[in-house]
Amino acid sequence: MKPSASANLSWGERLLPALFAAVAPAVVAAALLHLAPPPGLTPLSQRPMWVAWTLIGVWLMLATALSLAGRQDASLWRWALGLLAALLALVALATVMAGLPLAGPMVMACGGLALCMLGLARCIGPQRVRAERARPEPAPPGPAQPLQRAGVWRRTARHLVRHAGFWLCGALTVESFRLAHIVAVDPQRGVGMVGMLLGFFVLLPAVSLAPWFPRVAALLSLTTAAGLAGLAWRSGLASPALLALPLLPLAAQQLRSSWRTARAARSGDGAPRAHDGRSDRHAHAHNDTHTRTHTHSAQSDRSMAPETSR
Amino acid sequence: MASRRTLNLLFTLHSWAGLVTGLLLFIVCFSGAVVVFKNEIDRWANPSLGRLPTVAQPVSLDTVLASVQQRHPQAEVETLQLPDALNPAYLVFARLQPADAASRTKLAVRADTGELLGPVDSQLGQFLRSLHVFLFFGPRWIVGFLGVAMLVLIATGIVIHRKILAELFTQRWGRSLRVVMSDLHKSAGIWGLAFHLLIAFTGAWLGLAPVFERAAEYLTAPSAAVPKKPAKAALQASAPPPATLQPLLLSAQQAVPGLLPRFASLQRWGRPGATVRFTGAIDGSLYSTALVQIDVASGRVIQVLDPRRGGFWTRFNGLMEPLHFGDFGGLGLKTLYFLLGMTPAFLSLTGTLIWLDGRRQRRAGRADAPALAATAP
Repeated sequence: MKPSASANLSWGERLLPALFAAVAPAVVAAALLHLAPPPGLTPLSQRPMWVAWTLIGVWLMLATALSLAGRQDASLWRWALGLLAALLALVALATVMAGLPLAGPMVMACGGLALCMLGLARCIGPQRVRAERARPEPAPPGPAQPLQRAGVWRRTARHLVRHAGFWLCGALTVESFRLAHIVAVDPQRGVGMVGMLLGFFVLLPAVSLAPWFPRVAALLSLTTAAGLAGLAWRSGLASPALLALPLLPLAAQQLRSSWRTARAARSGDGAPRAHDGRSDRHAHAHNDTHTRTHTHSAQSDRSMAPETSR
Repeated sequence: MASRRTLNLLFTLHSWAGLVTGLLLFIVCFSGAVVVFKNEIDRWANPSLGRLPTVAQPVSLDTVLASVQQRHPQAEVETLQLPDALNPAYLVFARLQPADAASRTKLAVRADTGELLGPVDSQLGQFLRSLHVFLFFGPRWIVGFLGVAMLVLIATGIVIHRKILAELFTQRWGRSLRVVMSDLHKSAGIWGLAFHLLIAFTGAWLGLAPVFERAAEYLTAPSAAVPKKPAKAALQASAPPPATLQPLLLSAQQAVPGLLPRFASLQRWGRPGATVRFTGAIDGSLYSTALVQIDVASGRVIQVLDPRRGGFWTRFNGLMEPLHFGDFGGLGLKTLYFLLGMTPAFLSLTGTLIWLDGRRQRRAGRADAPALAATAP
């Protein structure tokens, strides 16, 4: 059997769908655990945390197992749906054997859902989704040379600078959350609440829209900086001021980008605008209707009509 | 019609917002769909309560309180949950060791005799609810921000996929994974659009309302650097006389006509300044956030929240929870909420699969490019 392109997926690319697939079986397993908790642990009537950690552990283990067992998309989902169906059947059986309340509705619901899962598992296959054509495995990368390793640091620094806005937004959110939830006494709590709102509703849109609307982004960044400065002045805390400072060069960089774009547009007379080009690059990276991916899809799906998803 | 630049912008936003929040949204939406049946799940997971009779006239709150205090004299009772159609017993939340928050235990008391049955078998319904509302560990704000992200995804998705009628009935099977998932993603998104908007908005409101309230309180407070300490209540020389709950419940029902009390929360019970807060729904009304707070010593009503008599925002806020959880229309509505509640989770999943497949295609294209170049004439 020819290897499908799914076998070319890295383990991380198999783990992500496996994490989705393992949620439902883990929750059903947690329900079964509530019916028969292990002795010697804190009783369930006190809603102990070991149950939550157990669910998380089971979820991660199931996801890992599914990603290893299901090397193809279809087999991963068949395994997951089959497992879910088995667990639901077990719940139904336990309900009947233990004489639990609401036995009738529970057995019907679990049994019906288990049958649905089995039906879905059966439906997954080439009659629904055509398997990718086999492609040769790409040559493995050679050992990194010293110059390549040095390039890693340079690339990392370039990445940090290019996406500084998102990193700052994340730092603002984490610090605000710490003040609001972990410190959780006034005035820190109030400062944290305002900080989270500024970070999510003002700064995040600013850095997200910066490639297309750099002037608006600069204005929002400056607004965030002014808000944080106001919070620092009002509360006497240092952290809002420390977070406000790097927003100033960020806003300056966004304004510079806007001026450069405007100058290029005035002098270029038809040359593509920088933020349009960047937005096109983003769209190329993610747009499933773009010509390049469309061409590849056509090679594997010759009868596919032009995409009309947008 | 939106320009190509706008569509590119929205598509990028939609993709990145979906990618970053996809897995968490899936967990929250899936658990939310299951939690619609929280009360039924709790009933199922507590076999010792399932055999109890449902009584029309349950014993008084004072009988329940006395029963708990007789078995656990040191316990601090925090909340009493009154019986209802699905749950035949009183449920009491008490700290068996007052200084230890982890000792908070859910106890069951028979509604017909007032006999304390002991700790319940499990709190499975509340466990699942804590996954949905708090992701086990965090405050509800995290899920509130996810609700806003969901609104962004819906708004961008509506503009991107604007061929509504065509995409509603388009499902091409037997094609590539990306085409199949894309069609499923679009049709599920459009079919469930109204529900998704409702759930995302109400979820964001419920999650973020405390954040906005606290932020507004902080910004409008006169002095923020050093908070004023609240004045301590004057201490009596001796312990206050034992209070009774039942007359206070009657006072609450007079303050809010039609109140169907569900919880009685005790603050500083047995100490000076004790209060009791009755919360519940209103008979014949959609609102589920009625509240009456009473000073125990004097019997004076301190606070009343009757959404029917409140302003616009009070009434609006009172609708958010019932609309979000769908517990106002019986089992049929709950089943509908369950099925529709799975569709946002399905959208997260299909969106992620579309992205993964696109990534695979791009990598395969880069791998093929040298081979194609080598074979070019």
